Amino acid sequence: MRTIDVGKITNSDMLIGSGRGRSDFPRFVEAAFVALEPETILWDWSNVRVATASYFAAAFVPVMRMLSAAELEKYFVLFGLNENCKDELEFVLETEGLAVFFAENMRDGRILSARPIGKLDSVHAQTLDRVIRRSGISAKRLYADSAGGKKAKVGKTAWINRLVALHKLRLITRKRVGKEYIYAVPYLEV
Amino acid sequence: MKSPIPDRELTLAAAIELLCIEQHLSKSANTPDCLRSNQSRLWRLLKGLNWPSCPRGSGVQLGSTRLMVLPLDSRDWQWTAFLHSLQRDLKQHSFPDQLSGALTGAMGEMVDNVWEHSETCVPGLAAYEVTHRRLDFGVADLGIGILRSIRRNPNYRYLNSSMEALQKAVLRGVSRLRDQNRGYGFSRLLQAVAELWGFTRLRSSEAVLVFDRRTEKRRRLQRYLPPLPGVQIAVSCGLDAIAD
Repeated sequence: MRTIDVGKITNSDMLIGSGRGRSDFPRFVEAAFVALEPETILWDWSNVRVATASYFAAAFVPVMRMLSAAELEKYFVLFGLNENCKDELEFVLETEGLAVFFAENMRDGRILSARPIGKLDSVHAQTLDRVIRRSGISAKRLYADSAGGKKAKVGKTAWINRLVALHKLRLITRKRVGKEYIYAVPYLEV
Repeated sequence: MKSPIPDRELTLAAAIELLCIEQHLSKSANTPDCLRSNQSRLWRLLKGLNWPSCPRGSGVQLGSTRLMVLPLDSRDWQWTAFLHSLQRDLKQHSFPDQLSGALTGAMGEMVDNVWEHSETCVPGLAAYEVTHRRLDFGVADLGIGILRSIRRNPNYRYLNSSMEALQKAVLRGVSRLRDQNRGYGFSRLLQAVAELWGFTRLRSSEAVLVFDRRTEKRRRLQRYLPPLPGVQIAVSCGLDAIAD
């Protein structure tokens, strides 16, 4: 896991406006894609006092969109956002139909707990919750768990679709093990 | 020339709007009563600034009132210092961190609009005053105004009046630029001010749009004044309204 200090790369603690966001966008791209190997990036916003919706929309959201558009195996986790910055970011994510992990609890550089912020419908939120509770899970296992020996309400294909959608949002990692994919949250080692 | 601003709306923001009017008409306006009395020192200071001939980034301060002639862009250290001082003053007047962040961001967004959309070499103005758990701020420019700006977007070319353009501009996602991720500034400003039961006044050319939540009855007023170039924004809000 690599940490990027947003205050450092933008050289400011006041990140306001789409104009500023557009001019900072290349700094976010450079910081995130310095290497193309799969990784989890921890964006540290603790040195930022004010960041507005327009700024997030111009500087950070396009970088998030690049992950799935370019099918890059990179995963973002944010931490250190103050309440106002988080509120501004959530506003943008909900409008844009995106979600990202926000680390609520950290110790010694390790994430102890995180939750998604942004727009996630209940079906995908429940699926993500099941993935969070396991350190790595396949669609087959989710199907078996939900069936519990009886006829399952949710078919295996539906679980696959949900996991693929969450992976496309880069909320969960995907690793091929044998014939199946194992999905996990990006801040935990499988 | 009679002051075109009704006295009951006179604030620091109205004072900078008056400066815009003077600059536009190239002559001095009659000093309104309110500025003649309790804010006369401020008015003299504003006049003494010699805007817009003064250098960008220059400013005046009187107690917790600050005015700045906008620098060239948001990376200017003087602008960052101005925002820091706003946050500090809000904190001194007991504004919670989340609110002070939202209000600082909202003011910054309005200034960013000047840089992004005004299309004029005349520098804009930004001013704020924090007193007794209250914040008043104003942002003004003498640029192309909202109608001409928003009509650059082909989707809004049908707009014919500044009032229509103002009403459109305050909606989320509406911008003169067609790319995604735009048009958050006004909606976030109005939201932040509404949470404090405050007052927002937007003027562009002859159109004035007022969002007033200072009383029980929410008001959204439309008013028409003589045309004035650019956009002038006045915001007034305080903590006492939510404490009540």
